[in-house]
Amino acid sequence: MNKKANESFSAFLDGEASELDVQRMLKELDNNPEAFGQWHSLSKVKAVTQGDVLVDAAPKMASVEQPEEVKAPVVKSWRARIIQGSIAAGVALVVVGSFNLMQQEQAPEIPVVQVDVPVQTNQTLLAEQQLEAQERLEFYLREHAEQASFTSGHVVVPAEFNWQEVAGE
Amino acid sequence: MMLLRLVLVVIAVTGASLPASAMEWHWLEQMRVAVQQTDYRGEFVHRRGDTISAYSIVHRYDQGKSLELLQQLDGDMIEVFREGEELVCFYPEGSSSSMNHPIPAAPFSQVYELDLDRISDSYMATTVGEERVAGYIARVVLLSADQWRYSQKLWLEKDTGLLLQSEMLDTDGKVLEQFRFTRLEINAEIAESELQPKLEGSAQRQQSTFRMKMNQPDDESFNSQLTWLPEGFQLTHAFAGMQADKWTERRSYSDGLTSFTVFVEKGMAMKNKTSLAKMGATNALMAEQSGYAITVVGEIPTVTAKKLATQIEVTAWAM
Repeated sequence: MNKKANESFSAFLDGEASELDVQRMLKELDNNPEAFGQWHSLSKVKAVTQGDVLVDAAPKMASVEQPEEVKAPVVKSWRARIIQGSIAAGVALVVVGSFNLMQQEQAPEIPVVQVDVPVQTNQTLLAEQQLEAQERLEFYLREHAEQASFTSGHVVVPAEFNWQEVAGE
Repeated sequence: MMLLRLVLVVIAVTGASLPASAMEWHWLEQMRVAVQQTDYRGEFVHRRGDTISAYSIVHRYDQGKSLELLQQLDGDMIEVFREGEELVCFYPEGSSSSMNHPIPAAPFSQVYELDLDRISDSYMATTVGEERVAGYIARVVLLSADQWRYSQKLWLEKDTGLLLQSEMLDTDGKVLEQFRFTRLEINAEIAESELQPKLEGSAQRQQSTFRMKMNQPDDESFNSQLTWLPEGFQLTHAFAGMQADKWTERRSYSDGLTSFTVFVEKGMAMKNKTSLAKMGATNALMAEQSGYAITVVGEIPTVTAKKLATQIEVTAWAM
């Protein structure tokens, strides 16, 4: 099990994953399919320790390795958000309710609900659509940049795709 | 004699009443020529939103042709060698940089003509002082724009007109993108060896482009139409054909200083959704409209991209 990939997944759970983290996770899933189950379990452990209400919509998996550290917060890119969405749907992360019990004095225990649903959900489809759209956008960006360099003073740089989603409707 | 005096008076009066910005437009043309015909070496940084990248550049004008070597200083050492209108981009072995990205280019390095009349219709030019950049005194020219485009600020070296710094500003004056020389030697002797790409021969990957002379762009036969354009923008490139198994219609527009591209294709993901993303001054809007995917990408404000996306009319779609 790749330690760095675990760290990336931990950052992912905290909503702090960079694009590099997401790419590392995808690579790890390719090389080590068992990581799917381990990360799923890890997501449950972390959610419970954070006091979230859980709805487990994934198959039962094996034990988990606890990551040692969490990355510093970074701005979540458009790409990272989309791929996060894909992974979130595919891995079927367990956090659904996501409200903090620390703020709910009347909630005496953490409810954990097991629900059997197919992994392929609307969310998965949406994430796939978003990923396809994002790849299309990268292609369009290149075509636009090349034309722009002939007709405007815009600098062309091969910056990593780091779009920040600012709106959606 | 009286007539001659009258003519001189008219010339003097006419000259005195020229728009105050006339000199700024002259400097703008001087800049375009200087970018391509001055010999220089230096380093510049480019800031786009939160992303900063650094480059070194060596440029020589030789027998009517620009020779230029651009090197990316951060991350992978990507090199771009330009000879006239041909660009070759070299990537090192094991490079993580994607060949899907556009080949880097310095500002105005590939602009061979500035339509000053058209630019002056869309921007108001004013000199806002002088500043020192990379060891040179520069005139600072502000190009103020309407709501449909970003304003721009240019730092032009006082003697040669070379562009030392540029910024794109939103309507609140916030800097969205910045290009700036940090080190520069103008009129430097550029040796042949300085223009030799280090990765040439050893590079595992390379891509090259050659700018083709374009006919007048024509979108008459397109299935889609753009029913509104911000004043001053003109069609600069049009393409209709299969791209990644989908019939796509693509139009690029420019007002001389900035540009945007509109893509229309039939069917795509993100049904019934509109997504807006931005990187520096670049906005990208993807919208689904009656089964067609409309994408607007450009260095234009969000309000312009949004309005453009609603101004596409699709008639008959053959494919």
